[in-house]
Amino acid sequence: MAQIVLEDVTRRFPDGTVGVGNLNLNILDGEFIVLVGPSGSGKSTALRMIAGLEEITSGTIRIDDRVVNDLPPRDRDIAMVFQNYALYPHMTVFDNMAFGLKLRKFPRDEIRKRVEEAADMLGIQELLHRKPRQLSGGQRQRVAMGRAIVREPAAFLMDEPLSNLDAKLRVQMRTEIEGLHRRLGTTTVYVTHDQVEAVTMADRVAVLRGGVLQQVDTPQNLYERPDNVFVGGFIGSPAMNMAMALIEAEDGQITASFAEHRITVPDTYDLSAYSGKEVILGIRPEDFEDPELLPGQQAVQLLQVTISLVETLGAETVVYFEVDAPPVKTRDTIELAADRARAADAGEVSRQIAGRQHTMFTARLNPKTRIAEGQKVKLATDLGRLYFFNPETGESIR
Amino acid sequence: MSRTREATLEAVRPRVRSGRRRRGWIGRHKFEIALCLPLVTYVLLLTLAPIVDTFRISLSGTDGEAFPSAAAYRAILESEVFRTSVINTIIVALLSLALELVLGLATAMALNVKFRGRSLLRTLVMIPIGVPTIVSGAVMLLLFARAGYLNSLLATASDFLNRIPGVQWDFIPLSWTVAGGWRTLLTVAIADTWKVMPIVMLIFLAGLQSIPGDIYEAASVDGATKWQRFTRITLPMLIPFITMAVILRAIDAFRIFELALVLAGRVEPVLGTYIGNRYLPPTSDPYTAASASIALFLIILVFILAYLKLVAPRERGQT
Repeated sequence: MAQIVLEDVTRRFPDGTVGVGNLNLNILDGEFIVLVGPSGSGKSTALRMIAGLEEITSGTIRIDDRVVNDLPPRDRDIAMVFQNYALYPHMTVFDNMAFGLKLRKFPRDEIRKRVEEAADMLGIQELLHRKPRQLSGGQRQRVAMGRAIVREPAAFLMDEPLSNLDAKLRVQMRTEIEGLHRRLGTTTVYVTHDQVEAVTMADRVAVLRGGVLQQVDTPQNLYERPDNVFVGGFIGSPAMNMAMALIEAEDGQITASFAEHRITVPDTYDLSAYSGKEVILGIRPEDFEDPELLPGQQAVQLLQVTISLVETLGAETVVYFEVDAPPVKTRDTIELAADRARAADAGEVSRQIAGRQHTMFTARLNPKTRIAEGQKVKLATDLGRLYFFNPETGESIR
Repeated sequence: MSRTREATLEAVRPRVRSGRRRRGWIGRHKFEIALCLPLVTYVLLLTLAPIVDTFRISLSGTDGEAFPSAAAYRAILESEVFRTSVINTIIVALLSLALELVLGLATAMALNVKFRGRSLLRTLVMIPIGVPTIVSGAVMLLLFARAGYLNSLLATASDFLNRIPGVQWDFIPLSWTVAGGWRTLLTVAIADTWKVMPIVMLIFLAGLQSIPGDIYEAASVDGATKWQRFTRITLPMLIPFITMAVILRAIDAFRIFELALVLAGRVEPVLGTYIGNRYLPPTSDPYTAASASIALFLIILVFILAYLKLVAPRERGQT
């Protein structure tokens, strides 16, 4: 078990690009921390630097007060689970799991005991004599976990371990990994591009973007109090709705207008400095509701919208409606859109949305709603849960 | 009358049917048959027939004895030159095989690392394949001759070493190829290695590229040193490729002829040159040439079977 401290850690690649820049992170003993971000955010690079598979250009990484910058991976007392499992194809499951112990000259009995215990924990006892190619994806994943567990390392490092599994298995393995962490209590650093995976598993989530740490906090705090528009748009699924809104102050009453809508902003938001200016307004899909189904008395404002699409999911109903305003086109929102579209080139996404005059908003409603496609309806917006961001800096306005 | 006719029809019908079916099969597979024909003709006429004929000749006896005669085999077994050839062949084959595998693997591993100019170097390494064997033999003669490069290198080395007090190495230049014994055999093995190492290297390079990079990372996190990664990951993963290289190369190494002819001549015969000498004038003895060919065939067969027996089971267990 160990505390892992990253101080001003930078990784500059030979071609000059910065993979990770001045990363500061204090991973507590026994913590399950998830590094999340779009591709190219440096999350894997950061993990590989902790593992010792990637050189550290500057800064220090300490594992339990020991500076490990120049230690080879084998001397760092860590175990890693790889995206493609990286099992040794020429060895049986048993030998795959025993490999690290054999190299460390553990006695035979101890190796057998540990491998069998781990196999038991993961439910792969019958597979011990098989070769990796005879296993399914889920089984390989378990073997890769087992190989890490038997080592009883100071920390587990996991690099997108579930991304090669199908959706159903991914959810199941997610729960199993959480269970293992609870049981073993080993410090775990987990990398994923999937923010749902991040918020469901993590004690704390570190959001990275372009090699720079955006925010590190508990999933709930990230969701409720994002530091900037990138974190706000990245955490949460479906993503936060955004529009450019004009702030106006009249008689001490602040309003935010976008398209034909005008929202009265409660005075808990400090928008005084933005009067007469445009800011990014964010509303999460779950903060809309069918006004007829509102549970109780809360500060809401009704927006008149025309529903374009209704998706009935059983536990909830997701409706889509168009807002008569062009999509927000700051660097942050374009990058978010590119990530959602799984597009490698943000420029292309930027061109795609350049000509659009409307923005599609998403709302998650109570499934009892009778709202139907094509209807002109009023939707209630929770005024206590609005988000405002400075369009230039992307920072949150609270 | 009608019964006879029926019987006739009965007798005829199946034949007609099967005839139609046969025509149908040939008709359906005309294209495939046409494609196979050249290969079948080639194998029958130019491979199988000569092999069978070699067997026949080897058993024909030297002086018109009755057909199944072991006279030619007796003759070669009694021959001192034949025994030397067999031993020389085995020495040269094993020596060049060992050199090719070790150097081929080392080169492949070096060229598997990413660096500037790698593709250029890969191409340069392949050059020996394009040089005709006789030409490479001639080049090797220059290298190993009395006034060749190797001797001048050794002479310089001896001059240098003799400057060290207490060291006395009187180097006398000699022609390696006609020196006989291990020197001549070594030149043949080195020449063969120079010529075919690139092929072995290519096989190993393909093998190395089939090993996913992340298992090396997994191994280094698991605690493996560079050497352990080589012995416990690279080598076992390469076994199928080593088997392929050994079999391909062993067949050629035992049959070595041109290089041995050019470099060793009659100083140190190998089976290839022995067979040639028996067959060609002035000896002109096809019987012993045939029996020696069969002996060569058996040596290759025994070697490969032994290799498969020793290595293949382990390979099956590992992949």
